[in-house]
Amino acid sequence: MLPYVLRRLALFVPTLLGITFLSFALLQLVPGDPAEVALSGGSTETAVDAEALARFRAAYLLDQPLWKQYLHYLGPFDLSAEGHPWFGGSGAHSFGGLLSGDLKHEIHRPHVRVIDELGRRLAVTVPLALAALLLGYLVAVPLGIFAAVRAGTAFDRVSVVILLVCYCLPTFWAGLLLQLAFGATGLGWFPVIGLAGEGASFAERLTHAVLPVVCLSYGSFAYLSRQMRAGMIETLSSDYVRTARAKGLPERLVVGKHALRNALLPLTTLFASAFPALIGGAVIVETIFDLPGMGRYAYEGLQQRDYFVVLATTTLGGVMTCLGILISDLLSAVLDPRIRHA
Amino acid sequence: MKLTLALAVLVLGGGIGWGSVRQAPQVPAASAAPAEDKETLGPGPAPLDAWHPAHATPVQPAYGGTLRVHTEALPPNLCLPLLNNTNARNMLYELHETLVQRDWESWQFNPDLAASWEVEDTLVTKDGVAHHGRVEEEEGQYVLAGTALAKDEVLRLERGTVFTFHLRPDVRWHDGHPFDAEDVLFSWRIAQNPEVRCDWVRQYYGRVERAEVVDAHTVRFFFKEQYFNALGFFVDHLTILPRHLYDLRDPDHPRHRANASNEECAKEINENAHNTEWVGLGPYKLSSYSQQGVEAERFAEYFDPAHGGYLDKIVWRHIANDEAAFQALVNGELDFTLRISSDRYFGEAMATPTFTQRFCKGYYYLGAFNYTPWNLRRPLFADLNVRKALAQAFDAESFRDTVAHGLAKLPTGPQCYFGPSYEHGVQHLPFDLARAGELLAEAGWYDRDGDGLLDKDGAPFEFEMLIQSGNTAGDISARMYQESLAKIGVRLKVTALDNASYFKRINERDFDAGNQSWSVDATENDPMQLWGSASAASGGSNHAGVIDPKVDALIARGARELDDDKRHALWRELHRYLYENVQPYLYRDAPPRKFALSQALRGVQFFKITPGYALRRWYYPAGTSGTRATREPLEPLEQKK
Repeated sequence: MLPYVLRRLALFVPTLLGITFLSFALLQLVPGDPAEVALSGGSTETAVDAEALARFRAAYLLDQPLWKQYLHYLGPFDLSAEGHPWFGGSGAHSFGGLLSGDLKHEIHRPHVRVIDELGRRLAVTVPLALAALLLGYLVAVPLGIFAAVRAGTAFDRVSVVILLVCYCLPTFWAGLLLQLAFGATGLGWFPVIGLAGEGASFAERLTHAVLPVVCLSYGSFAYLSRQMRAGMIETLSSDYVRTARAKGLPERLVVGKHALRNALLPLTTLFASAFPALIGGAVIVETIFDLPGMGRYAYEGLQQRDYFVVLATTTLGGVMTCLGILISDLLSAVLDPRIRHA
Repeated sequence: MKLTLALAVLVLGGGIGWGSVRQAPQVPAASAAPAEDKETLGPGPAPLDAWHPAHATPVQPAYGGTLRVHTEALPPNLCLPLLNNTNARNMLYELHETLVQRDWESWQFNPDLAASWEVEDTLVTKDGVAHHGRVEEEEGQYVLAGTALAKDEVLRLERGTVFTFHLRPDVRWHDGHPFDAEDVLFSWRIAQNPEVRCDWVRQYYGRVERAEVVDAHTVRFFFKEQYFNALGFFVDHLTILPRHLYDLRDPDHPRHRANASNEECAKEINENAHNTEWVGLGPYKLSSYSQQGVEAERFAEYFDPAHGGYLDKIVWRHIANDEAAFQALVNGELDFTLRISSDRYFGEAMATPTFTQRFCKGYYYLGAFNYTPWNLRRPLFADLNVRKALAQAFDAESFRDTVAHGLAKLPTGPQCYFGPSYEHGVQHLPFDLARAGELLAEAGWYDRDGDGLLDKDGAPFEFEMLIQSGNTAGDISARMYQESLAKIGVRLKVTALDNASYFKRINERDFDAGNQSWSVDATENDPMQLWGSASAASGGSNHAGVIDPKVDALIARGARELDDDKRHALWRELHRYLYENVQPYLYRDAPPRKFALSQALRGVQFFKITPGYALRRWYYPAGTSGTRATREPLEPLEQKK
């Protein structure tokens, strides 16, 4: 097992480097100039002075060749004028960049460290994503089991239609409908925006989280339950299940004890990849419900062409996806020894 | 019943929402007559609670309560010299003060941090020496401080160039530190350090040649030359910073270093945590800044308690999505939003009892207008007839009556429609496609090859208009314009760009036509930034590229003219000349700001001066839960700590 883990971890390094390189390269292809956005304050009403632009670009190395900008971001050596003496810097700030654990400061709020802000944003997004996944599994697993056990019945067909409709609903639209239905214009059950403030009770936090969590999770009902259904149908047709039935075990035990464990395997590995996707992909839900999370941070960074924010969020998304896949592979290897010996 | 309603929304609303999402923006049908236009030209008293259904019933103000105001974008920082940000400016109206202030209604300058001020002149003699003081003009000579100088000894006289401010001695920063003249001087001096990222204010700060501290509570500014809006500089541009928190060389700074370099001092300003954790001088003191918004509570030691606000707390709630903001308002999570579209304003949601029983809606005009700049550097737009034809091909009245539901002015010039410098004698060119075709033919554009497009020198008449994605009104106007132009053989390509890409192309002059807004103050505005030839270079605000000696001359004369009436006449002359002889813009409309406001709030007035309202004047009526009859001093800072 250990050689397998090490092999996977070794692959992790070039993958991560590739992610940072691709993110950086793609960012360069996006039109718009961080210096112009920063100096104009995002308004055509503010004149932008050419000398100021030059100073700004020099301060952020935006006037340097792309390879130098990339290596400066990657680290561990700081390549700016205050950077490492090996690269002509003054030595005041020799090390920096991703490899030295430095995600830089935001361009628009230079006193804010990107890593600190990422922490604050993740503190919003991660609990929501976990809750959404939990809700997704709580709904999808029983649905999938019932659909598998009653495959081909009216229940199976109706549930497929409903779930597919859910799957197709655009999040922004569903979010607005949820607000209309459960906010003051409808039932008035839940707050429609934001998080509960500091000092809020657990109940208040819960009521604020209900609509975003539902909005984040309903899309996963379909694919999780279909996975569950497919896995369960396959398992139910396997020899050992037939044996269990032949032994005269009640169907409840056959499904709940013998078949379920094996049928859950695909869902276990799905969890590892679905979680990072929820972290990075929550931008629409975070916008509709006004949640200052990770997805919105990435989006705001892109709008403002804050390169360091975009690179940090894409890199983090990449790391989480890699980790998710790694965990998924490891789980598969643990559960199926044939994989680790392949 | 409500459950049924909610389910109906979920089920039936789908069809409506889905349709609206998938369709291209539609031009609505002309609405019924717009609501009564309550606006008048020029300064004057603003009616109290004009939009409140019970405005005729006076109420007694109470102290206390919280006001939750919507802000669609959270400013990256609140330090205005570092960032020209409208939302930050709106917050600083309550969190900060200026040396003088402009009265909301009379538009006259009033004392604020400065209890009083004197204005003097500069007289430069031929030996190059500048003398300052009040200069009287007598026959053939100037008299300065009792000394007569023959006019032929004088090189130039600059009126109103020396301002001496006598500061109030009782003012404290929000952290309790006393405010004094050194703060003011430091705040102006930051622009002299090239490493400080305050480039947008340098052009304004640069009008001041030097400044000096006379004593702890007296500070003097010397302008380079006479300028009509010199006093306005202290209202609109000079943001006073707490020196003890921003200046490393200040002995009171927590990390004081007398020999700190310019770079270190600049870094201290650029990256100062107080850029967001603002320490100001206003009646409200910042208590938190987060992605959720900005919160402020009434400052117990505000120097002018009588005008220190009624509310205990103001929250600027950050909600990026306008639809979510409206839902939050209806849900009781907001009290005031200005992000109301015309469709929303005249739509069903604001006519339901859920809304009308608890909120009121209304609108007021500021100086903002929407326009399309032509890039005059491009040969296609070089001919005045072509630009006039393009103006006559846009049906501005139809746009106003349909998209804006009648709520917009159709401006023809860059000064505020309601201000004294706007030339109302200039009429919007009428929508007339036939005339537009004639003008284009006069300019040599007609369909030679029969392909339906006008052409000249082998090239068809086609151009690109950039719009900012997400700007629905801009998108609709561009599509309407596209259809009109197609009828006269002109092909318009509309390109939607995100803001950063849009700014880049506009700033680099890589465009044919744009679609943008400009904000002007109701009082009057220096046309230099928009029309001066010096601003035509890359990065300047003269995006159209107007380079015209007459325009420059009028701007220069107006800038030096201290007589209000004469100067307003110059601005009006400039307005007429630009519209009739230059036509650098296609003026679209000047819409009002539309708002929704909780009926629980009273004391609400709307003004023509930005931002158009003063939260410190708003209050809850006596008897409202959580309020009290007296101000009751809040806990002093030291005790609170």
